Amino acid sequence: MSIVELCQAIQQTAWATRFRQADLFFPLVEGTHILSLSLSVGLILMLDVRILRLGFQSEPVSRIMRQVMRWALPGFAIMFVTGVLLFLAQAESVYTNSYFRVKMLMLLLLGINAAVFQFKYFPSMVVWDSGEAVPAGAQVIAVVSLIFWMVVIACGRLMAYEL
Amino acid sequence: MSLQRLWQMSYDSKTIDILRNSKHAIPIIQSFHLFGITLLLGAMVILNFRMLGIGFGETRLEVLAKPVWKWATSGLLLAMASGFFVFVPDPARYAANKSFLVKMTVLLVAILFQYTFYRRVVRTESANVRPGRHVVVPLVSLTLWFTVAWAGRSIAFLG
Amino acid sequence: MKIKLLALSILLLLAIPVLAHHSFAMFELTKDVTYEGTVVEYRWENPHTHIILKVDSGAADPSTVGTWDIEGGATSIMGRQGWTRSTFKPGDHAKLVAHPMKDGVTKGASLFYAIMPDGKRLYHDIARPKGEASGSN
Repeated sequence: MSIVELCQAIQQTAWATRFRQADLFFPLVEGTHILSLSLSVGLILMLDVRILRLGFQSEPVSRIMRQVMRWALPGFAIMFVTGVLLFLAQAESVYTNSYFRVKMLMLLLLGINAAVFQFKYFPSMVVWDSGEAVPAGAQVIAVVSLIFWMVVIACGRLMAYEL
Repeated sequence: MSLQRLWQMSYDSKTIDILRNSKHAIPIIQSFHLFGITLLLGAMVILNFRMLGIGFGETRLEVLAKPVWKWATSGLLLAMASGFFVFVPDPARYAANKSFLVKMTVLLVAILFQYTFYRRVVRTESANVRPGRHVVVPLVSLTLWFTVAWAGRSIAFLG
Repeated sequence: MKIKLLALSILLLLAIPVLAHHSFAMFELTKDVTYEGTVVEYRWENPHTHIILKVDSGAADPSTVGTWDIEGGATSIMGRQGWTRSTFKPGDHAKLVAHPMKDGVTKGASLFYAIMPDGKRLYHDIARPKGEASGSN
């Protein structure tokens, strides 16, 4: 069974159909998904800004990171859960949508971006935490984060404009 | 001049037609609207969670507010500018949409609250290091802004 | 440095249409085309209701021949205009006025209104034809 066929099967299940036909499910789940951008992407912005020394320069990077992650992690969890629900409700329509595919690719790259930061730059953070110089690599990661999140948000919006 | 005449001007305008019929314009403009909302709501989460004492407590409010207040204002301006260009090509549709009317009303209240009372509180709270002293003010701020955003999403779903 | 960042981000954003490789589902909003045929599927669902309509080769307008995906609005919005989950069912005859897709190839259209057997119009939303008053429910 191909992935498209699997998605078709999911879309045709009774509960997926019920989700789509319910008046409130979509508005509630999609609304939460979009509003939670503020709790996820909106907060990551704060960390990116500090890494690029565009703000909060008086604060150690680790302190900003700690405060951001406290709320960004649950924020991203909400994005993930609502995203999965939205996918399951319309698996085939969404899987065959080009903007969805670009969005997923971007999310994968963002995941890799975060992992590189976590494994390459985070361990040595105590060295550059309060100093003037942030490793160039970490700055690139912050820039990639800013740009790619904008692309993800735009793709999310554009999904609706492909039949 | 009645509202009807005003809307008709939009539908008759050749310039606005370019915007209306462009393949790319409206979704791209809506994406900028979302960037603005993310900036604004993110800023509100940071400042209000700090005041409620449920987050961002390690950093002084005045240090947070320095860049974050600018995000809130830039985000709001971006959302309003892009929102205008989403509205103008199809004014009759939005004007008749209840969610849109709710959104605009609450938006007005939110802006007034933000740039009068709320701004004063943030400035005086800076002198106070203890997070969690204010409860009503941050709750009102969060409620107002998230209601605006929610109403915006409801335009396409609840009408 | 900051200007370079801004330029890069704008370039990347503009690249999205290229990356996506598909045409936008933008409809010819100024064109009202009447599609008359048999309902293949009536999907009453969110985010969009879909009516799959088969127009036979004997149709008055030859450009409408074929099987079309005519997209409506969300269930609450259509519901307020009088649509229900059983307004149509497969096999029904239907007459739908819709805006076809810009690319002229894909058989998709954006529903404007249905003309019911009694002649009444069932709109998808509050939008009305030019010249008519809109917003009156």
